[in-house]
Amino acid sequence: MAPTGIALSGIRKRFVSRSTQVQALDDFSLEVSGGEFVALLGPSGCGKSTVLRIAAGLERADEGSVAVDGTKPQRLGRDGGLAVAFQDNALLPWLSVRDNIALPYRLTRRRVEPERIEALIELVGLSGFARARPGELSGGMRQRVSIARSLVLRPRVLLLDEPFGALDAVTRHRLNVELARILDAERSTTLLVTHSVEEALFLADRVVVMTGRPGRVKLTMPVPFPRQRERSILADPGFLRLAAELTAALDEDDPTAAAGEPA
Amino acid sequence: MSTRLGARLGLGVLGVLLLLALWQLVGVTDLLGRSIPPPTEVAGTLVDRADLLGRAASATGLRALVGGLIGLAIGLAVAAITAFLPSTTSVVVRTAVLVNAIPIVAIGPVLMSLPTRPVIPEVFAALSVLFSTVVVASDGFRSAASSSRDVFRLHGASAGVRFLRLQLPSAAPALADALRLAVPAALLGAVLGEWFGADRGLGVVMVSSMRNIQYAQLWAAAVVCVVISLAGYAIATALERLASRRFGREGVAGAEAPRMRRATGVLLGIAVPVALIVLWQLWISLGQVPLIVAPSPLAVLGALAAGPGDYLAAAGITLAIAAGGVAIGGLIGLLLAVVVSLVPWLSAMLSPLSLLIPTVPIVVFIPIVGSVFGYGPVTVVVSCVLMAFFPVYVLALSGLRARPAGSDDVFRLHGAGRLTVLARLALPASVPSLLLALRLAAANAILIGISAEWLMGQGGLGRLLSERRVALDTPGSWAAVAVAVALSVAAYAGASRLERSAARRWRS
Ligand SMILES: Nc1ncnc2c1ncn2[C@@H]1O[C@H](COP(=O)(O)OP(=O)(O)OP(=O)(O)O)[C@@H](O)[C@H]1O
Ligand SMILES: [Mg+2]
Repeated sequence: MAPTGIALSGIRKRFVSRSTQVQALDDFSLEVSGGEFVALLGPSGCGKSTVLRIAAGLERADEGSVAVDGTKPQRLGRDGGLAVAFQDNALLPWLSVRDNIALPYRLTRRRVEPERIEALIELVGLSGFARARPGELSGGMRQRVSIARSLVLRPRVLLLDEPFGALDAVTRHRLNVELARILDAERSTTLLVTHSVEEALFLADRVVVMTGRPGRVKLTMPVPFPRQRERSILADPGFLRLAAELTAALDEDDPTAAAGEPA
Repeated sequence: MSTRLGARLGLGVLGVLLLLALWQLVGVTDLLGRSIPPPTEVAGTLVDRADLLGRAASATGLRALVGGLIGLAIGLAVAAITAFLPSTTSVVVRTAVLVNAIPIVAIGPVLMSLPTRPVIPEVFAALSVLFSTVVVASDGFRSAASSSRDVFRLHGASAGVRFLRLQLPSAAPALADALRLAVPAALLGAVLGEWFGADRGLGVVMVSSMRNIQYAQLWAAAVVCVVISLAGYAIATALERLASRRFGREGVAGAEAPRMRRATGVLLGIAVPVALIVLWQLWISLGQVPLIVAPSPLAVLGALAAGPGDYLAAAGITLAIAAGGVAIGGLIGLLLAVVVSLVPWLSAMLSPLSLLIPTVPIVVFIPIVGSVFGYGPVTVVVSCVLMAFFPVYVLALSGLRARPAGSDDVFRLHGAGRLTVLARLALPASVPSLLLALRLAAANAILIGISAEWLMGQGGLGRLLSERRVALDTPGSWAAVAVAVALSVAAYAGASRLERSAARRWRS
């Protein structure tokens, strides 16, 4: 049986354009084992989205190896075993919420499961908006559609790029709880990019902090609390100590980026 | 990166050479008849007749320049009014849009009976520039971000200061855009105007070459026309780049026309034409204008009432020809755009074509089409097909690429094939561009249809117009003009309504 999970090792990535050259990633390695939930933190522009895109097979690494569930991510994506919630939600403006969520079925040539779609619409709190178009939704509502779309095929590997960025604190926390519940049930391998230390600690089995550009792994912190965490954990002294530690790690690297984060 | 750019350029040059070679082959072998001369012969004529063509070109160029500048100046002045009095914007823009849908050839007979006769080319050039300038420039004046406008309001800036320091700079790219659009429009107006009777100019050379079967000279005149347009367009494009870089482009695309209450819109749609007709009647009655010069609205109505069947039948023929032309031309344009978008090397080879198309004043093709297809209804249809093909091809090509941000990744992630991307992403994404093309084509196809009918003496309204004119039936020819205007405005209004309802659905 092939090893499950995400294995990125020795990744280098440089973006070259006419006017600039950016070394986004330099010898970046990360393993997420099958069923594990890893949260990725780092200052803005350090290459988090690039890591995700390379893991999804959407971007080629200049050097290094990429394997997801023991195979190429492209193959897994084609089979519907891998899904991404994109930072800029990437919805199709001419499709309704329902049809946007159904899109992965159509792209992977599967039979649409209407009950699954309705359940997800309810889950992300958009009942009553199934027939609305993205143009009629707020930024946070669009992000929730994008999350529902990434979950619809029950992917074995889930890549989430700041999926809750545009949400208010209350909705954000409610969705955190729901996401944790779904992932516990489906045991998906998950890599979540976030700017919120609190969210990372609340959801993940392990938190990885990246350095500023070029991105490398700076710190890996296992989260010692069992999954299915309660809201009360946010006030737990152990939780607060870990949060302070992560914030400090982010701070010393890029004070301007960390200062923008109230978490 | 630069090697890919080089490859694209190389393929583009190769494409042009291949097209020239094909043209040479068709010309030499007379594959499509004797009326298509090979490019070498056209080049020879350009040299041999340099004198004649040069004089014609300078006459036409001067007319286009003078008329175009007048049209630009008036258009900018009108647009500036909307900058100072924002409440007038919707009225001014809507009127301009509607008047813009009037085929200028239809006004020709009217101008011919007035003292404007010797300057018809200039008037046409000014008219065809005027209304697009009003629309684009007033959009530009509105494009300043509302937050910046608030800053000016907050500090109590006067309207003059606001205009000079905010609206004018932020409109700069749009103004340059208006200039760019004006170049082919002014040339089109000048050439069309020359067909109504001028003693020299490229339009005159084209019509007389067509009638005298001097095919090489006909093509040479068309080539000169395209070259002039291309040169003007290049200069205007350089200015536009400069303005965009210096003043930024934010907001221009997003500037939505101010909405008007439905009742106001209906009222205006009735009030403006009624006011014009009343003015017209007053001018005739008070000025004691003889009937041969200009008939009164009542006389025109009388002509319409005397034989409504003639006018309806003619309008029906013109509409059918234009609609058929738009359907065929649009379909060919869309198909070619789809094929080109799927085949990268083909898109590189044809890229000079999409650069060239917006610069070409399409009327110059009518005499050429006539010389190839004969002076019959086929020529009218083919002219309309060409008219629709050009904008649909160019806009479909850009529409097929205008995909929502990041959506490509979703398709790539799940391994969607080219056809899936085409059917589920590219084609739906291109719908707004296609409807825009349809709107542009709808009014223009009727303009081109009537022009071709006029020139060929065939078909519907254009033929009726020229017949009534020859018979010195002034009320009759004005009645044909009125029907043509109504038809064109209706086609445009229908197409814009379709576009607006789709835009609501497609906007993200
Ligand atoms: N397609 C691209 N072309 C050129 N440069 C790119 C491209 N994608 C990313 N970069 C550069 O790579 C760096 C990392 O970008 P990335 O989007 O991965 O950052 P990020 O950590 O996700 O930032 P944020 O938290 O702001 O989303 C940035 O400096 C960015 O400018
Ligand atoms: Mg990012």
